[in-house]
Amino acid sequence: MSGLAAQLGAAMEAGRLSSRLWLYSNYHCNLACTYCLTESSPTAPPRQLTKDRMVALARQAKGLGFQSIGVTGGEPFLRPDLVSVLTTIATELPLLVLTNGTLFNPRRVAAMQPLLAGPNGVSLQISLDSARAEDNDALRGADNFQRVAEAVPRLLAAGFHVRVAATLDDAHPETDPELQRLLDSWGVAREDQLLRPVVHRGRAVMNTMGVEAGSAQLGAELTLTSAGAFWSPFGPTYREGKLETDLLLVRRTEPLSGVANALMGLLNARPELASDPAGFV
Amino acid sequence: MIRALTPADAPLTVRSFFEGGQPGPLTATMAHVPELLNATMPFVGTALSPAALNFREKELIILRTSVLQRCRYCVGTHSVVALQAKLSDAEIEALRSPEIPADLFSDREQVLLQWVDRLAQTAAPLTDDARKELLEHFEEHEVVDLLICSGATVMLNRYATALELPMAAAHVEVLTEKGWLG
Repeated sequence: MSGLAAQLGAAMEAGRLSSRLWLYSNYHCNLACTYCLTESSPTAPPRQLTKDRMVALARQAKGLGFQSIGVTGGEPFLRPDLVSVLTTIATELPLLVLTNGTLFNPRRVAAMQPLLAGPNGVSLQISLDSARAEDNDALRGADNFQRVAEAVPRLLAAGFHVRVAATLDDAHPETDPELQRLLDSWGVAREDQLLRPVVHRGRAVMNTMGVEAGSAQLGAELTLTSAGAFWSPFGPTYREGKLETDLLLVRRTEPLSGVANALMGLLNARPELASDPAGFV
Repeated sequence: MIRALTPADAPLTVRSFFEGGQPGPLTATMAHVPELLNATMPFVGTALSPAALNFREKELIILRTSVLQRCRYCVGTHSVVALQAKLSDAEIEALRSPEIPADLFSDREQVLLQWVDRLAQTAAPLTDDARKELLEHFEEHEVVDLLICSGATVMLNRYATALELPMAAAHVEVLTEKGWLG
């Protein structure tokens, strides 16, 4: 094991660094949620990480001791090559993909079967913010609730591990019994039902929503986008079209060892960071 | 042309540059690429500071190079720094003019300035005679310091001119008082 991998492993073991490497596959989205960190929308620039880069980064991550890959956006499944990208990455490490859940028609789900055949698990985390369609759709867009309500049981029936995450404009969301009953009825396991607060970044700032989240509040979760490497997946956010740079580490993304060195340098120099971290999912 | 980052949006890996408040425009713009800032500022700081050559000689190189490169930001800034290096007003004005009067500087400094002019003005090959003259006045380690300082200055000249970096208010005040602004 390299010295860097040993350092990363120790930081992961101590809970000071997430063992998941996050990749922003793209920034465009078929939705335009009111609290979106990344100002994603159908007209947002795609800002894609290429397939080759995503695969190379996953391989390097495995070599450095990361234990899983997270893929987020934007809506990753807008990429025509996504299933191919994910299938390749999933040969390296377990995979968690964050998705809005609106694109899983029967044909799409059938085309995703190769994801289930690999050696590592693939989980899909779908966003749904309320058990009431009108409340959810006010935040996430027309017909969103209905599409998710169709997608979750379909994906579960096809054999996928599905988590459902609600993002609430509440600093300390604890329970939502109505949502819990709904997700129970769809067959989503209790441990896969997640509640998290809106974070005051990106479009949430413009809509005066969410809780403050800087490096002192956020756990270290190395995150790569086409614009560089960031402290956390909450980092590479956009406001009025400009990248928010306060959680930027470096602009390069490869080699991953160089990026990880920059992160470890920061963790070693500033032990107060990530002392009481909150995670992305 | 591009935003100067502030302490509020300073990338994590270069936040130390912003801990004393808003840094100068070179730092605040270069912070968009943190790894470049982290590498460049120590390099530039070393290349432009006294090393083999003293403070005065370094400022002769930096100011004259900046004049020849027509870098408004660097000429203004280093006219003020040259005062701190104890250059006289007459010496600074001579460096800021097209032709430098021969009697203001020592023989060694004149050779230094001839080399600065050569390095900043032409990409033509240097002659053996010119090299020989330089080595008559400067030792090997001093030549290295001269060449790196000259090259680093040209790099900063191009950067500051392309971005039209604004001079610090305190420097503008001194330049105005001396009649050197513009």
